[in-house]
Amino acid sequence: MTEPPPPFPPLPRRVFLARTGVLGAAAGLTGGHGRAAAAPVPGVEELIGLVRPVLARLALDTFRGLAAFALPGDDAYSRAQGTPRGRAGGVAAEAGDLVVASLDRLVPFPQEVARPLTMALVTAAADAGIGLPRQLPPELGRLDAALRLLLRGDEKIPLSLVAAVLLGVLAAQVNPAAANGLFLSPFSRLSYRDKARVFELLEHTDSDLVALLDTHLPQPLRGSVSGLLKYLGSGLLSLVTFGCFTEHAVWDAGRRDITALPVGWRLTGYDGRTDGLDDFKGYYQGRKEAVGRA
Amino acid sequence: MRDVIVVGAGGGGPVAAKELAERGLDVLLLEAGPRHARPREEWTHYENDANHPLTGFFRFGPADRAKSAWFRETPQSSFVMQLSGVGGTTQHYYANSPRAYPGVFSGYSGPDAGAYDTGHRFPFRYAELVPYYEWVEATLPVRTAAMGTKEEVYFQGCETLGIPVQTALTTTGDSYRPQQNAILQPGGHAGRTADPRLLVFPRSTGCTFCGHCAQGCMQPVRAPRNQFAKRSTDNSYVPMALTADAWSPGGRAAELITDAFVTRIHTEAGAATGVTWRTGATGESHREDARVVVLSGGCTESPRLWHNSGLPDPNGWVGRGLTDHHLDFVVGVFDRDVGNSRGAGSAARCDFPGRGALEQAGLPPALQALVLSTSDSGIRGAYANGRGLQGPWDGPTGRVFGPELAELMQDGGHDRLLNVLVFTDDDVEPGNRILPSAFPADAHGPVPKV
Ligand SMILES: Cc1cc2nc3c(=O)[nH]c(=O)nc-3n(C[C@H](O)[C@H](O)[C@H](O)COP(=O)(O)OP(=O)(O)OC[C@H]3O[C@@H](n4cnc5c(N)ncnc54)[C@H](O)[C@@H]3O)c2cc1C
Repeated sequence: MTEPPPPFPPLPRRVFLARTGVLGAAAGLTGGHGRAAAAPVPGVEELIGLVRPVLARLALDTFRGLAAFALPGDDAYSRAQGTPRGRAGGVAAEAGDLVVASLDRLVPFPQEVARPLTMALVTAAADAGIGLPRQLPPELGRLDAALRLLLRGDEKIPLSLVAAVLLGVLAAQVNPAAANGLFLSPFSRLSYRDKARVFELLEHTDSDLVALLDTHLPQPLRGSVSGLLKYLGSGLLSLVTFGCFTEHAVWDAGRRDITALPVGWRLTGYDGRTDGLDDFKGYYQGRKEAVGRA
Repeated sequence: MRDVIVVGAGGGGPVAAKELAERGLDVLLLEAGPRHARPREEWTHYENDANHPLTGFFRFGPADRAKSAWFRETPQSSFVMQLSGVGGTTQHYYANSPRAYPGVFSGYSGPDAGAYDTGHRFPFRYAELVPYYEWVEATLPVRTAAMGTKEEVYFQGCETLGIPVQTALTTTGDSYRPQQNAILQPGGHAGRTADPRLLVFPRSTGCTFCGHCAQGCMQPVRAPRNQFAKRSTDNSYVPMALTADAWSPGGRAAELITDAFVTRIHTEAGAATGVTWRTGATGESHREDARVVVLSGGCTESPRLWHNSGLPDPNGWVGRGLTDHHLDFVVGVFDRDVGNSRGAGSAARCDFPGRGALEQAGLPPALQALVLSTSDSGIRGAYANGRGLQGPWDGPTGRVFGPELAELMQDGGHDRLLNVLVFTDDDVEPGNRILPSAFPADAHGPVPKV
């Protein structure tokens, strides 16, 4: 059993040291690293500022890997999953970008749920040993440390991040080698078959992960994780596939029109701009009316 | 003090509003979502712009699309396809207007009486409802649907299977037929050309076969609103309600307020006395009194508002027995173009009274892909969630995904698909229900759990 982290996880001491190294000027201005842990720690905001764009890229990278999973194409993600094709696919259609934008700006997802779920995922990410890129200070080179840090701030936790970390944790469970390597996201490092395994786990919700996530939720929400994951798993697959065939990547909101033919239209040959088509074939058996009983 | 306040301008509310305004009552129609009064300036045919479930102009959310959609807890693999806005869910519906099977009503004694949900028959007879059907069918109006390529193919299939054809309005046995649709049928050049110069009202009237029923009907170009082909209530009953003084002797125009989310129904001595609503743009709340309140917020929001208003629930059935279409798609792959993306959304059907219906359904590619990637049976060839049913189709049931999806859709593939939409298991189940969610409330009170 892993101990659940305390509600406000203390920053590891090494992170304070890293802060003085990386943000020496800021530390100098605010008086160094000897502050009591209870007070807002100077420099934390700056550290969060370092970590946030990396986590945002991790989320985007994850959902680009998902876009390749839905509709493989001639991109690096499709090659990495072992199903390259000669034509543009979901990555070129920016279906992953659409998922991130949808989850973050427009899903009405309560923070009261997002934060406890992230706390639970800290534990899971630590167990999986998921790494982050070298450019970060070494103490922040692990996903769990970065998430812990993020939770110290009081800004919104983006749902795309929660979902990406969830997929990352499951990816590392399916293939432990995916915890580190090419791409930012463990999910995007998987083969097509292993990506499917991740969604199988997500939809098959009587796992340890569900129990872990559930124990972090406050009452009366405890017990609602398995339904939430089923919804998330199927919703992500539907939304990303929809995004592979729509116009959003070439959308000019000002003109309410497209600037080029969408990838999905080029693939299928569809052109949806018409106000009418010549497909009228008359009435079945010549009847234009139904009358009476039977 | 109004005579009547109608909560929700979707499929149901505007019908009540029109009938009452026509008779001279003072009717206030309140709608939580937007009114798309100028569709040519507000809508497009693009699928993301229209149908993205969170950001599209067709979604369940406030008028301001920069704001997030309204949250409901759906703790299973499911999606509630309801819309806010004038017209409600009919904005993207298919306008199919079949009559219910006589066997679902009380007093039915046909030989197949036991085949229906006998525990939950409608508490009146079919014959009692027929005059209402006739009135609505004449008002919308409802017409026998024309065929396109996909319907020709579907009917060939029905003929091959030897299913009897139905020619009457009432369904009495297993049968197939063109849909009875609330769609003005093609006139002039409509359905006969793709030339934009001819696809203009009145040179074209009624359905132009554009294939965009799900993106909202604004056809033909330059037609007045009440002559748009698909008779969603924003194109039919709402215009009638708002102009009742002009066409009904003694009629009185109903008043419509949009961006008005009703948060409470007030009662006194067991009778409704009025409502409070919240204006989305300002957050202000307003109260009006009425002699009668009509609750028509749809099958998710109506029980929510009932619960949130603390109204009585003596037998525990408020919100229970939610009977939607938890639908299945069977998708056929042809070696030729069968016109999937052209014509009305659905213009052909089979009925199997007591069991369900099989509808033809045409889809543009992104919605087609969404349908192909939605299943309880996992991903074909990868995992099956303990299902992956085998039958008279190729391979197991499940999502068509990845390389298989690409191969299916490419080079006109989307138009070689023929969808059969399966509506079955529509019996009343007490456990299928709406109840207050434990998730945090929004500005309109506790959210519904579906
Ligand atoms: C894709 C699709 C295709 C369909 N095709 C067909 C078809 O071909 N034929 C057919 O008969 N049916 C069809 N249906 C079903 C049909 O659209 C619905 O059954 C019908 O619209 C339900 O009407 P309603 O008034 O109960 O709810 P809705 O149409 O959902 O309307 C409810 C309205 O109330 C508003 N509202 C809710 N709560 C409040 C509140 N508190 N205050 C103010 N306003 C509120 C909502 O914003 C909404 O506008 C289809 C449905 C879908 C999703």
